[in-house]
Amino acid sequence: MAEQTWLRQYVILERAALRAQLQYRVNFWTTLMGGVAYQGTQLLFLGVLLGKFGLIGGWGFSEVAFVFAMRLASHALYVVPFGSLRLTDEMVRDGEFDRVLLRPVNPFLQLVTRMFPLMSLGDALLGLGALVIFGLQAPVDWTPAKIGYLILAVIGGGLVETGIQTFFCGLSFVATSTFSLRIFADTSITQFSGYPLTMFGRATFYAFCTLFPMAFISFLPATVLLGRTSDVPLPTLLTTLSPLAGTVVFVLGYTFFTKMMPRYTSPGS
Amino acid sequence: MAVIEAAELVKEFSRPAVLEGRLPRLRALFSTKRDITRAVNGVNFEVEPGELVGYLGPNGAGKSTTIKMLTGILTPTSGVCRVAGLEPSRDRARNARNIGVVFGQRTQLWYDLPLRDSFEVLADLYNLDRTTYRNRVGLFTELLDLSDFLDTPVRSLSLGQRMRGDLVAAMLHEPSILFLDEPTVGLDVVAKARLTEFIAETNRSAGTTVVLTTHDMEDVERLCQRIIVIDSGTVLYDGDLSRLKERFMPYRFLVLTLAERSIRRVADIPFATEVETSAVGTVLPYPDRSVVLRFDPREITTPELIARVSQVYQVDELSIVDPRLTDVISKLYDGLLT
Repeated sequence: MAEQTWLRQYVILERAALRAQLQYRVNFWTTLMGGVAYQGTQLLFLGVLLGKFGLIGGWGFSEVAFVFAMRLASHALYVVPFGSLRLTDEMVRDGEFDRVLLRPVNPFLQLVTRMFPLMSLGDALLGLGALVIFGLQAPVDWTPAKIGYLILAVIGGGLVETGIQTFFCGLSFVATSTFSLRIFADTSITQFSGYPLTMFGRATFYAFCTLFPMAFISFLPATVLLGRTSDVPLPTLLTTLSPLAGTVVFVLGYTFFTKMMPRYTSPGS
Repeated sequence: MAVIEAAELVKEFSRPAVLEGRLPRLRALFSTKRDITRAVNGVNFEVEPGELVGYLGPNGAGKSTTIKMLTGILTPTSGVCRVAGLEPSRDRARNARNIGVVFGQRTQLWYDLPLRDSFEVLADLYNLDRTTYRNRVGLFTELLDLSDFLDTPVRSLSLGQRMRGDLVAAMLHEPSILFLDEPTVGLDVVAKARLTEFIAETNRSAGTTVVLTTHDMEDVERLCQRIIVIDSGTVLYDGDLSRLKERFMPYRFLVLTLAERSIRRVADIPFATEVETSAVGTVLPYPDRSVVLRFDPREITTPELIARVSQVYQVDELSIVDPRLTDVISKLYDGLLT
């Protein structure tokens, strides 16, 4: 029995997850629409906000909308391939994680394929659409280099969110319930990371770069593309390298996850 | 060369300590004190290839915890276990290819998919070619009579059907070692018989090593040559099933149904003691006319005892009953024999 590649195993498990989801038709359509509606309201809210005030933290509508679109696209890159990570907490608590450990497949791979990301397909559509529309409206002269940078930044942003969520998965092996932490992370990312984060003041901004690194999700790389790095109280080089942060955060989160996994207690007999 | 080895195996669990005094629950939120329980406390045993071993013990004895360490689910606190030469917790994925596992309490199938789909996903994950896969599923379907529900979603299966499905799922990749944790729990007589027959056959024909935990002594008597009994995380007995009885319950019972209702009780028969009728463990047809004598076959042979009894009593009927395994085991659990 030869070992398959990760990609092959991913396809096998994701296909099974999709088939499982397709068993419930009503659920299929409602979740698909729910995804678009949920993230769409965020965008509407932003429109209303800027319609009233015009500028946020010295940033105009087209600029904030662009940051927000990058955020949505990054979020889609987390939630489509890795969104099932949010189920880990429960699997660890009720012992379903046993099953993961009994199969000859990487546990992380099995966690991310636990459920097919139907709801997230809405996120993906919205993220991609918003990125194209607001990217074209943003005051950026698009060159191939800048497009490349944007793609790296969006992937990096997705990895930041994935890394944070993976960290929580690791935590669930010792903390039993990480539900509220996870919700906290999710809502704060949704509510903060689409805005110019410098508007919250220096101390908060540094916290967003370190403790809770959501500045890397879209704000920092956006300042590079929009030519506003001077707004950021960080060396320009560091700001420019911000898309790499995703890899760092993810590696840290994944390392923590694998270090904590042996502490799984397998509840139930 | 042993295929499964456990050496000084220990597993401890810790949880936040239960506090005493005022507002214990509130204070517990801020306390870092932890209670430590040793679920498995220095277990040693070896299993040779092709053995079918019963791993027995009362609830909470540490059976499942041991199995979980051998299957790579739990990491031992100390000590070593090896399965087919691998340390399960370190070499988890490779170990998973060598073993098949069934937990009676928990399914490993895809809950929302038809049974057949679960098999196909597993076949893909274990990289079986189509012919091998079809042959095996065909064989198992026949042996375990799955054809009626192969296309039913797992969530709609009865417990007996689901267990059969789980067993096939655990065996599709033809593991050389099977761990079965209470595979017959909650099953009816027919389903149980089918399952135990299948397990016995697998062990016999394919030489699969089987470690089985169960509370059902019928399963044990039907399947296991050897048993390991643990309690409070330590091994109480490890050896032949028949020797267990010989060693701990060397006697047999002679059950007499007397001809007359009012009979003079207890004649002095050497090497036999009258005991309560309940000792036999089954309901006797005429309790008021029954007498149960316990004797040790090493002291008096059965024909000799019968001859002596017949001299004293008018006997309508008599039968010889062996002590039940469940009585032996429950005495073991109670610590009466150690």
